[in-house]
This record gives sequence, structure tokens and C-alpha cells, in this order.
Amino acid sequence: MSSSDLVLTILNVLAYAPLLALVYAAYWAFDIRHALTVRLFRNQAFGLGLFSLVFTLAALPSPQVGSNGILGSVPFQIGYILVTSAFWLGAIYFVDATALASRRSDPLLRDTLHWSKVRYVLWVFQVFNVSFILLGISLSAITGNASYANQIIQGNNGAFTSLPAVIANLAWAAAFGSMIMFLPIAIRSRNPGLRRHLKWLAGVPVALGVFVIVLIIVSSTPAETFLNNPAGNVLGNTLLYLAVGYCLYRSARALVPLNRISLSSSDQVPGNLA
Amino acid sequence: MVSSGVAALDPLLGDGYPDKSTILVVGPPGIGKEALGYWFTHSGLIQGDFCVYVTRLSVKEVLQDEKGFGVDSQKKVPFWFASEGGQIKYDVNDLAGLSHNIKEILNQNAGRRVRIVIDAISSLLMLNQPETIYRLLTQLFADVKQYDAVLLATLEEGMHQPQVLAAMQQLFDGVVEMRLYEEGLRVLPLLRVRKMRGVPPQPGYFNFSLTRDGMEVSAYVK
Repeated sequence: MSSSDLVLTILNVLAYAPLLALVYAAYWAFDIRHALTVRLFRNQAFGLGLFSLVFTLAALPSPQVGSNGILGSVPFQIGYILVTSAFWLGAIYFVDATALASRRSDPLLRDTLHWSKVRYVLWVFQVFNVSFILLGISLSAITGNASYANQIIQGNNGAFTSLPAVIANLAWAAAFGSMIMFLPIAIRSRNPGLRRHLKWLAGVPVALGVFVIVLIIVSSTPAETFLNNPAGNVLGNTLLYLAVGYCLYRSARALVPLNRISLSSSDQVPGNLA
Repeated sequence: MVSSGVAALDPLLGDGYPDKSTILVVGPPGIGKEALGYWFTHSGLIQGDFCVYVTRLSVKEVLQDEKGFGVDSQKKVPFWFASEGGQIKYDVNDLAGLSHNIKEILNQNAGRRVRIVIDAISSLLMLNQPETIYRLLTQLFADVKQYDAVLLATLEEGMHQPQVLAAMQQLFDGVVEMRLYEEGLRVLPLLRVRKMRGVPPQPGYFNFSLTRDGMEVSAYVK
């Protein structure tokens, strides 16, 4: 095995490290959810766990794309679209749950950006988008014809060349657009815990933004060659998803104050129920 | 003694909350500390006590939350101070009004046991200087203790500075903590009776779970 193959093999193994980080973040969110009893705050924790799991799926090391830039087999395309559909709905759920929980912790119970009304419109819009997409890929699965799935994937890449592509773009816009809610919530909130939670959550778009900026900076430089080859690609994605995983983990832990049990010598006796 | 409304909790408190006492329940958002207020109110209504519930939420929201804990306040209704749907509108900016109204209620029900639940302390602390709220509560507690009344208040953990939390705990006769603790890779909800008037200090922690049927409590052992 050559040294470059060895490096690539090591990197491909390391590519699974972000999955551990993301699953760990989801685990903390779900464990905190399990410990809470009020539905509003349980949903908030569940939303974060769901969001982390969707990123886990997105971070799964994937087969190389075909030479024409279109992902290979129909089953893989369908899987890819199912993951993005989960993200579209998961993002709305997470934003909705966080907004509702933050209202409860606001001393003035303010309805940020009239979310109590806007949420219904957003949900209907996104469910429509996802239903349309899922209907289409069902047809792709039944007929074995990849063209519909390809159109959706082109939409995921920013194209507006067909109706499915436009719907996909609208779904992305709704998912990311709804996250704008976090900013006024964080600004308005006087809850230090919620602000800490949202601050770490903001690390996710920051990590994504830094990644994009680095790609832009290194384009047309010798470093671009490294990033475009498999090893560079894997390394870049690994670092990105590790950063995202860490931010989601810290965000999960900031959902509620977590204490440590301090058992001094006088505390060693178990609680007395007599 | 006044029953907390939770059969599993009363033994930890020394058979319930002391007469003419003020009790603080501290915990993070979502852990269910309001449930202690719901059960306390519900048990009082069944026994014929005059029950007052002070909340910054609407009555509808509180009733919805109560259902999740198996409490049905439709048949017997407390006296509501609420943002909407209550007999008195809760105005977060009117501290004097709040104090005056509670004192009036205590006056009018002088011959009865009164149970007061205040689920708005955290919002008052966030919107006012802590010293203002300390003074308000000190005066309120002096009024409460002139009558056969027990006051239970909830406070959000993580929303206030530690010194504010400590000062609040000093004001109350009893403090019950419902907190989340890390044990290895697990998060455990544990209850602790930090202090209770007339009861020796209890250093132990207790596992608890809240269901529609009530609260289950068991001794925590590491």
C-alpha cells in the first residue's frame, strides 16, 4: 500500500469521527428530554436531538458522485432525498419547539415575530413541499427512472430548472429562513441558559460559513488541488462536521443547568423516606 | 401541617408544609416544579381551603399544563391571578397591586386556611431590581403569616445570579430543589429538601418522577 493510499485509508476511518460527535450531541439532547416533564421543553430538547441526527445522516461518508455530477443509483438518490426531506422538516420542528419554549421563559411572554401565527403557515408550506418531493421520489422508486430524483438534486444544488428543483429550493429556503427566528429570540431573551444554548447553536452556521470562506479563499491557489482530491475532501468534511458536532453537543448541554452531585461525608446517607 | 398534595413528598417534608409557612421550589424550566403547585392547589380545593394561583400565563395555558399532570381544575377552581381568564388580571408591572390584592384576599378569608401559589417570581426578578422583589416578598410573607396561610412559590434555576438565588432561599421557610444532575453519561432528575422549618436538615437526594398519577419518590443511591 502506498503512503498516499495509507493516508486516504486513515482519513476515511477518521471520517466517521464526526458521526460519533453528532450522535453524542443527539444522545445528550434525548437524555435531557427524558429527564424533563413539561411537554414544551421536552419538545425543544427533542428538536435539537432530531437536528443532530439529521446532521449525522448528512455527515455519513458517501460514495463518489458519478462523472456527470449526478449521484449514481436510484436507491442512493432516494436515500439522499429522504435525508434532505428529514432536514427540511426537522429544521422547522426544531425552530418551532425552540420558539415556543423561549416564549414561555420570556417574562413578558412576547410572541417574537408573531410566531404563534407564522408557524402554521410555515408548517403547511413545508409539509406541502416535502409531500410533493416524496411523491416524486416514490414515482422514481416505482418506475426506476432517476430523472425526477435528479431534478430534485439539481434543486438542492441551487438550480431552478424544473418544478421539483424549485420546490426543493423553496424547502431549503423555508428551513434556513425559519432559523432566522433564533436571532431575535437570543437578543430578546433574558434567560442566560437559553442564550448560551443559542450561542452554541450559532456555531453551526459559523462553522459552515468558515468552511465556505476557506473554500473561496483557496480557490485558484495551489491548496485547491489538495482540497479537491479525495484526501483533502475527506479531511475538510471531517473537520467541518466535527466542529458542527461539538457545537451541537455544547448546545444540548446548555438546554438546562446541569449539576453535579456533591456527596460530602454528611451526605453519604441515602435519602430517608421514613 | 398542610399536605403538599403529593403523598410521596409529605414524609420528606415532615408530614407536609408547616402552617403559616412560605415554601420555595427551585428547578430548571421543564422539570415539573409547577406540578407541585398544581397538586398543592388541587389538594387544598378538595379540602375546602381557599386557593389562590398567581401566574403570568393565561388560565387556559395553566389548565392545559395541569392536564399533563392528571390535575383537573374544571370542577373546583382556584382564585386566579392570570394574564387572561382570571378573576384578577396579573400585571407584571404592578407590584403594589399584587401585594394589595393578596392581602385583601387574606383579609376576606381570615377564618379559612388559604393556599397561595405564585408561579411568577422569576419574571418579577427579571423585570425588577432584586432588592425591590426582596422587599415585596418580605412584606407579603409578613402578611401571610398573620393568617392561616401557606405560600408556595416557584423559581427558575439558571435564570438568576447565584447571589439572587441564595438571597431568595434565605427569605423562605422551606426550600425544595428539583434539579438535573449528571451522573456519568446520564442525566438524573433529583429532589432535595434544602431546608424546611421545623424539620432537621436532610442531606439526601431523592429520585423522582412525575406522572399523571402523581409523584413517585425513591431514595437516591449512587
